[in-house]
Amino acid sequence: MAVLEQSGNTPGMVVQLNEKRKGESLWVESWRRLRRNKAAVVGGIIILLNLLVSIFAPVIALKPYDKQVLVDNNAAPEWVTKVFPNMKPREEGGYVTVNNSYPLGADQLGRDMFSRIVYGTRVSLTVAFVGPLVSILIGTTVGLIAGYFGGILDNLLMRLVEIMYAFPTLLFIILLMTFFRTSFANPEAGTLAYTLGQIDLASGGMLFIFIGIGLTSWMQMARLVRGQVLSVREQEYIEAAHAMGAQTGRVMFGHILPNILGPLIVAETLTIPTYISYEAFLSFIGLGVNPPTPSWGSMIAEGSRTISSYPNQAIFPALALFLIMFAFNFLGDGLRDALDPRMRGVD
Amino acid sequence: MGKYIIQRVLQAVPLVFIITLLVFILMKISGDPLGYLAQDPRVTERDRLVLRAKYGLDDPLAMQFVYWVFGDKGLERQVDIEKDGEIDFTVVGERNGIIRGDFGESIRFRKPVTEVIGQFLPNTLLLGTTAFVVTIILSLVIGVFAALRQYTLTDNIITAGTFITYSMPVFLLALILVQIFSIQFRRWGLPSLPVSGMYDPRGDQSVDELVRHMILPVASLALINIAGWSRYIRSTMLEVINSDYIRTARAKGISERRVIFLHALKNASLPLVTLIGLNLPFILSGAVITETIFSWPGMGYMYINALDQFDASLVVAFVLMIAVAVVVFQLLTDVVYAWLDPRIRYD
Repeated sequence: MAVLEQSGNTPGMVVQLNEKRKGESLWVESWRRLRRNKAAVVGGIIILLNLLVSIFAPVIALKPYDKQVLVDNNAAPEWVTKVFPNMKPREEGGYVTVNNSYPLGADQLGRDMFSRIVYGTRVSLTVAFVGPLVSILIGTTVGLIAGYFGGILDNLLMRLVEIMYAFPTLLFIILLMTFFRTSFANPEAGTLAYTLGQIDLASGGMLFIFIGIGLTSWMQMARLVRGQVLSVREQEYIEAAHAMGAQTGRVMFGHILPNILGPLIVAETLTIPTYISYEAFLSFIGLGVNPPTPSWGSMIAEGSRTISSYPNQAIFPALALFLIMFAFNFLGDGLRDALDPRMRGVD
Repeated sequence: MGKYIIQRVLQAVPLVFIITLLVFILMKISGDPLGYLAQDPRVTERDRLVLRAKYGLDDPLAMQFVYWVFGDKGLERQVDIEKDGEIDFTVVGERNGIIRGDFGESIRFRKPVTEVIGQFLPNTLLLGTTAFVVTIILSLVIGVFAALRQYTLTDNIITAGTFITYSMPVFLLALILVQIFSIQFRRWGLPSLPVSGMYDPRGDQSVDELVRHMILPVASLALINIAGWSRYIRSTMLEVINSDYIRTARAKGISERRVIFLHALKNASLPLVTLIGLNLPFILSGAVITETIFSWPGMGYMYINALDQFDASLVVAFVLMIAVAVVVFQLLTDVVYAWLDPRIRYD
């Protein structure tokens, strides 16, 4: 939804370029098209709800997410024992402690699963909204420069993109994360490495995730931006801007960028599920957020060790992850139809 | 055509060189490869110096790169411990260089890197190729099937299904499969499927066992990919079906089956060549997530294990192997594509 609000601000910029009514109607009409798309609206609502949950997590979560009540370890409420028939309660000769004060059960350390999932929303949503920033920043800059200036610069930058493409993203992220975690572990105070390490610690291990994701996923953005710039560059209004004496920077960021924003938003929204799954995976293998910060990925990792006895501990966080990825996919798809009607029907 | 191939090969050579250089730099900044010896009281200063000389760690960086690539067999390095001008001993280089496949020794597995990769690669290839073939066949069937019934109930159901699977994190899919086919099936007394490893440690290593162990990992790998691929095939198929030459073919009275399979499918599968070519190298890297969840002893599993102790020579060999494979397959894809589709210009 934040993406939408952002685009809501842009008509002003578009108005400068096109005639007034036409410029406005692009975004207004896109908004109307988006509202008509039921799947996208559902996706948007789910994301909005998640956003609310993450903001009001302390109010919604019934118990603190890191409080360990060891007597209640692996406890489950009654309804969970009914859904998963192999989780037989102790009273019926099974092994599960029934405790209805945990809505989704408690994990191996006796921490409330519901609170942990609620707080886990924060990590996933932060990755969803902040994660793309690094990749947008690098990708847009590289793409704008390559597309606008062309020639040798374009050639060089695109070769760089090609080289980066040759490295498999997931493996590269894992490598970077290992590198960050080992080399920023104990640097001397006062150095850049130390400062970065401290910021990372303060953010619960999120900073390096952002950097890792950003460094490995800007290439697609760069290619897209370059292609868009190439098609926009030759249009009359850019020529007009040049003729009126606008400087290079102004033409690039003030005239070209606002006009290629649509495809950029669509592409970024469609990549958000990938970012979310990267974070979940990094946490799954223990390279993600620092414990005890709850992340759905680390919860799934912990839960999958006892999947045969306590399936609820892995399945619930996995469902939460699925729901948010699903919502972003739907919203992204709707945005594509709304902002770029030409692509409609093809996919 | 010959000129085009030569041109593409010439483009790939510097790419491979730069990738090698990048990987080398990555290896250098990742820290001292002998750092792990520092805490070992059994290792004397002299031993350390011998090792440093053996691996040429005190050579100029540029020479280290050259030796790493081309080997330093027979090269004599003189070591002067006290720096008094008196040569204490001479160490003879033994490396053959990565160009001859010598990546050194893995710290984690205490074996030459090539041997370690040789041990894990077949397992990954088995799993990856099977999943790949299943993915291609099923997504072709589903994609064509859905395209021929555009906007009918069947198509909508398939669309919804692919959309749900597409958003599903591979964890959730794997967990659901495990929950149903392993745990619940066992409870119901049906033949259940094993969930970890390649063989049952208690049983024999028969092909039968292997196939049973492969079903769940292959299913989760394939299902995730089928979702995206079948959408892609559906859209290219729709594009082709609505084109003029298909109408002409129909107008000529050719049977519908011939039109679909000979005229439409042949042209629609062109983009599939790109998809296959770009994804083939990633079979080598293994599916890190799936292999981790199912403890499949493949490349992804090995990679995570190697990173645990930062086994630099193994990680480097692995990343380099994948990156070069990506470049080579990209080249092959381009050539095959140019050969299949004469409309592509060779310049």
